[in-house]
Amino acid sequence: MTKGVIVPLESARLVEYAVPIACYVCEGENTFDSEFCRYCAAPMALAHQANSQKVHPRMVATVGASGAGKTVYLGMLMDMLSRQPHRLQMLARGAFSITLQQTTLAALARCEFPDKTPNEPDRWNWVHCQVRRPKPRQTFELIMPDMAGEAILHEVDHPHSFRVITSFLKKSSGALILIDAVKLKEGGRNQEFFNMKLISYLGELDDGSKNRWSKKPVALILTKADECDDCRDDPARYAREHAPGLWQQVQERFRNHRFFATGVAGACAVRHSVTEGRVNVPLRIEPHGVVEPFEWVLSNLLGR
Amino acid sequence: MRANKTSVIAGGLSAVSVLALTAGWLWGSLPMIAAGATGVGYVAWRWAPRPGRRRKRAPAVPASGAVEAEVRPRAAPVDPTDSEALVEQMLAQGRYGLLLRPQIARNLNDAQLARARAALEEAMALVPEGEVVLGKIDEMLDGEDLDEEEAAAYQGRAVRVGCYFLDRYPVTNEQYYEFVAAGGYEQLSLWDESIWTAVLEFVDRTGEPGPRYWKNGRYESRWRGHPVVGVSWYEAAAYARWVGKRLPSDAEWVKAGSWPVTLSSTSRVQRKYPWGDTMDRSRANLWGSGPGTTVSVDRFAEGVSVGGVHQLIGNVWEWTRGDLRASDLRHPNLTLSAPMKSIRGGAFDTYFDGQATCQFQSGETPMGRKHNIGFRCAVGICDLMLSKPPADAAVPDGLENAPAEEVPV
Repeated sequence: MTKGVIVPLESARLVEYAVPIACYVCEGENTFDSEFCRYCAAPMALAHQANSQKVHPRMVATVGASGAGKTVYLGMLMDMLSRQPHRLQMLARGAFSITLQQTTLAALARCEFPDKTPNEPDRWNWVHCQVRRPKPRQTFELIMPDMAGEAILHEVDHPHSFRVITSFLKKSSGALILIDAVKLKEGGRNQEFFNMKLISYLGELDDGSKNRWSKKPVALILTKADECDDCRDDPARYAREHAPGLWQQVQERFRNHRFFATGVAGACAVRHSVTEGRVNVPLRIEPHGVVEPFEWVLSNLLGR
Repeated sequence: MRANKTSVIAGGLSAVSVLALTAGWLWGSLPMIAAGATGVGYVAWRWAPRPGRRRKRAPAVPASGAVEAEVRPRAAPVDPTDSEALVEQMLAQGRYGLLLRPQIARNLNDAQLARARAALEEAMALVPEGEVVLGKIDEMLDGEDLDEEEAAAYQGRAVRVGCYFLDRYPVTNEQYYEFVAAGGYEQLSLWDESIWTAVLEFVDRTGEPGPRYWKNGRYESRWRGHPVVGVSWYEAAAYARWVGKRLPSDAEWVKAGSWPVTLSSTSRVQRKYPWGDTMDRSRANLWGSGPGTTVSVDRFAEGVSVGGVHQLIGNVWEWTRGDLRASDLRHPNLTLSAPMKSIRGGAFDTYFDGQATCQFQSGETPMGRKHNIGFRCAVGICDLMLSKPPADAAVPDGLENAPAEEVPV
C-alpha cells in the first residue's frame, strides 16, 4: 500500500513528512509520497491533483453486482466520449486514468470481455477526468472508480469492511447502478436482491444532512440489453415486470431516478474454461445507450 | 369520440347564444343582444370549417410523429393468362431474376428478355469465378497473442467460387415493400417448411406482416431508400426466392468485397476493405463516421468495390446463407448458445475498424430481427438465361437455386 522508503534525515524532507496530506476519498492523513491511501487504498494522486490544480472533482459512483458490466461500461464510456466529443468530452487527468480505457478496449477489439476486476482496492482502476459540455459550455472534474462487484457485495453485507467504498459512496453526487438484464430475464432473483440490498445500503449512508441519496440523481442501467429486445424498447417497464421488488424500492427511495438500457456486444457466444468456468465472448461490438445515462446524471448535477 | 364531444359543445354554445340574441331582441335589451351576437360570432369562428385550419388537422400522424410512406397500394391481381401484363408487373417488382430463369425466359419475347437483362445489369454486379481465402484472422487484432500453431490455423482456407451476380446495393425498404404488398408472407412455398409456424410471428410494430420496425405493413417515407432492417434470415431468404435469387454464400460475399487476385498457386492478393487495405471511415457508415443510424443505400459511394458493389462495409450487417460455426471463430472451446447464421460487413454502429473488414465474420440467430441487419441477394450466372438458346435445347430441371460452385482448394 504505502511505499516502504528509507527517509534521509534532511530537514526539508522531514518538514514534508510532517505535513499530512488528506486522502481525497476518505480524508485519512497520509505522507506526501504515499501512492495509495493507507486507510482506504484510494490513489493519492487524486489528492495531489486536487491540491495542485485547486479544483475539487465531483464523484459519481458506478456500482452493481459482479459481472453486471461495470468495467466494460466505464471503459466504453470513456472511449466513446474521448473519440466523439460532440455531446460531452472526456479528458483523462493523469496516465492512471487511461488504464481502464486501454485494457477494456484492447480486450473488446479482440472480441473478449476484460478480466474481472480484482477485489483489492489498490488494484482497481480509477478515472479522474475533465468533462466538457458544449451546451451550455461547462467544464468540471470527475472521479469514477471501477470498483469490484464482489467487494461491493461484501461491503453491503458487512458495512465498513471496505472503507474506500463507504467513503466514496458517502461523497458521491450521483450513481450509475448497473443491473444485468439477462439475469433478470432468466428469472434468477439474485440480481434483484443484490440491488435491493445496495439501495438499502445507500439509504443507510445518509447522515441526516441535505445531501441525501433520495435527492441525488440515480441512473439504473439495465446492461446486456442487446440480448433482450423488450428491455431495449422500454427499460422501466422491463424492470417493473422482471424485478418488481427492485422497481418498487427504487420508486420509494430515489426521487430522482431513471431507467436506461445499454448494450455493448451485438451477440455473444460462450467459452468454457477450466479456470474461469463459463465465459461470455462478444461476437461483435456495437455500443448502444452508453452515453445517455451518464449524460442524464451530469445534466442533473449541473443543471440543464 | 372527441369529434362528438366538440360538436355537442358547439351546439350547446350556439343554442345559448341564439337564445340570448332572440330574448334580447324581444325584450329590447342591448347587453343581451351584444352577448348573443358575440356568442354566435365566436361559435362561427371557432367551429366553422376553414381551409387553412383543416389542412393543419387533416393528416393522421402516427404516435411516433413519423409520416408513413405514401406507398403504392397492393397491386390488383393480374390476369394469369395475360403474359404481357405479368411480365410488366414482375419487372416493376424487381423480379427480373425470376424472368431470366431458363424455364421462364424461353417464353419471353426478345424485347422482354432485353429489358430483363438491362434490369439485371443495372441492379447487379458480376463477380468473376476464382479463389478466395476465408477465415484469415486479422493480425492487427491478435498482435503477439497467437502462438505458431494458432497462427497457422488462422491463415484461413482457400475456396473456389463460381461466377455469379451480386446486388449492387442492399435491399431497400421500398423494394421489400413489393414483397410484402404482393402477399409474400402468405405464400408458404417461399418459406422453409420448418419455419411455417413462425411466419405468423414475423410482424411489424402494429402486428401486420412485415419487418419489425414498420407500422401498418409499411415503412416510414424517410426510410424509403434505406436498407430494410428488422428482418430475420428466413424473411431475407423468402424475399430472395420471390425475386428469383438467393442469399450469397460467405465465400461469395468475401470475394465480392476483397476482390482477390491469384498471383500463383500459393500466392494471392486480397483486399482488407473493398477500397484497399487501409480503413478510410469516410467511405463507410460506421460508428463515428455517419449519423448513428442507417443511411440511404446510395450514400458513401466512395466505398464501392472494384466490381461495383456498394456498402459492403458499414450501414447494415448482411445475412449470408452460411452457418456460423464455433470453429470459424478464433477462440478455442467456443460454443454457440443457439444455431447462428453468418453476417458480414459491419453496420452503422460497428465500433472497431477490425470488425468491419471483408474477412470479419459475426453471427446472429436466424430468427433474430435486429435493427442493424439487412441483406442483399445473389444469383449464379449458370442459373440465368441471358440469351435465347436454340429452340431444341434442353431445359434444366427445377427452380430451386443451388449456390454457385464453391470448392475447397
